[in-house]
Amino acid sequence: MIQLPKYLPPLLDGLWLTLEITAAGLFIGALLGMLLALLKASRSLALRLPANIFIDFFRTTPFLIQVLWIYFVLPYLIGRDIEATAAGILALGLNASAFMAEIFRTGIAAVGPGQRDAGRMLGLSRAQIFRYVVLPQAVRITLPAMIATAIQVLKSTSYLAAIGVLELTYRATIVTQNSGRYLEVFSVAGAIYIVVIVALILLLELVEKHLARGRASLA
Amino acid sequence: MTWDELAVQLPKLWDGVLITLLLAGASFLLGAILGVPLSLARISSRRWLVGAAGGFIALVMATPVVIMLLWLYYGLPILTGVLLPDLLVLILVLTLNQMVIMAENYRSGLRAVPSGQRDGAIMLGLSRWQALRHVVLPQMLRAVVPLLASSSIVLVKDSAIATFIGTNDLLNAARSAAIATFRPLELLSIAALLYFMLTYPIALLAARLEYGMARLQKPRLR
Repeated sequence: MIQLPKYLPPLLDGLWLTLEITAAGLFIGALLGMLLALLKASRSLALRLPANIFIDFFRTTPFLIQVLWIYFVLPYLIGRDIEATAAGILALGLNASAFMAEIFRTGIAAVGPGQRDAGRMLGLSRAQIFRYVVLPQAVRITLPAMIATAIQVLKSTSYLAAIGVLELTYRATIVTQNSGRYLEVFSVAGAIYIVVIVALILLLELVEKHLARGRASLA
Repeated sequence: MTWDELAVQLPKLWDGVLITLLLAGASFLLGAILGVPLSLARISSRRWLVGAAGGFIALVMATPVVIMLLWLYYGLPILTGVLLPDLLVLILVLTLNQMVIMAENYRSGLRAVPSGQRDGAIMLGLSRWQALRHVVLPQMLRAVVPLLASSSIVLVKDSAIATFIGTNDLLNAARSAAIATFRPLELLSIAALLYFMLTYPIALLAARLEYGMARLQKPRLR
């Protein structure tokens, strides 16, 4: 612990990258997840089936194998190398999208059919109903699940140490190898994760409480 | 490389499947058992016990499994002076996560049982234990069983952390075979398919159970 000032800076650099790739992964995950949710809700089997296979596959296989597959196998298929950080962000985004698609789907389903009917009554188009009636309510309903997914994505970033992305966990392993101080460095790295994630968990509880209050006043 | 050479690697993957199943299975059982006292502590009337259990659950939930593994595998022996075998450390990490998830599952299961059910049973002359055993527990389990299925998928997936400390689970077996044969495409894809074959039936079961649950809980008449 005496050497804390010496190995804290590289760990904080790692935390910064961890947060960046978490944000990037969530962004890709949200966009792709919305697309998947729409495909899944489609009437055509040709659209529904690939979306279902994609979602099931990413939800039921370990994140680490997805990371290794994207980093080591995808370059064979596309004929060019992928940089580790980019591969990591892509893996996070694809993985998160599968989980977000389910969240969006349940969120959209939770908006009652009466809302849609009312929108149609008012002369809105299907796209307008989705954009102005269903989506705002669905986002509200799914917000807690989205924050939970953000926590999950943040925790998943530590797997990217396996392909050498310089996020917090990999930084920590480098520092331990240079200093031999396994206990101290992994403890500090763990503490950093815990602080950030506990903050997110508290935010989640706050949002849940806030939404529950809104619901109670409606009843 | 021919398909024959690939076939040579398959038994190694099979050994990996067994290790993965051992890790997930052992942690599933231990987590389901240890989750009971943890969830009881969480709903206890002693405030310090509730706080301690809540703190423990938050601590485990807020720690990524990889860093937990690295800490327990490389850090803890320095603290205790005892070097645990890698399989044991892996089961410890997975069990810690599973018992916390199970404790929360049990708690949400209990919450699904209206308190009037217990009060009614006690009113009818059942003892507290009988009310728990015959009225509360069956209803609670009905809510918990679908969650069991989904948390066992998480376990199979999380067991892939074994790769970080070089234990030959399914993923690491595939990885070393891929390195030995320079064939990551085939071997990682086969391993992914094997994982899918392990977890997808559980996912289908979970969806079925959830659907069944939803039907059971549907209000009949107003």
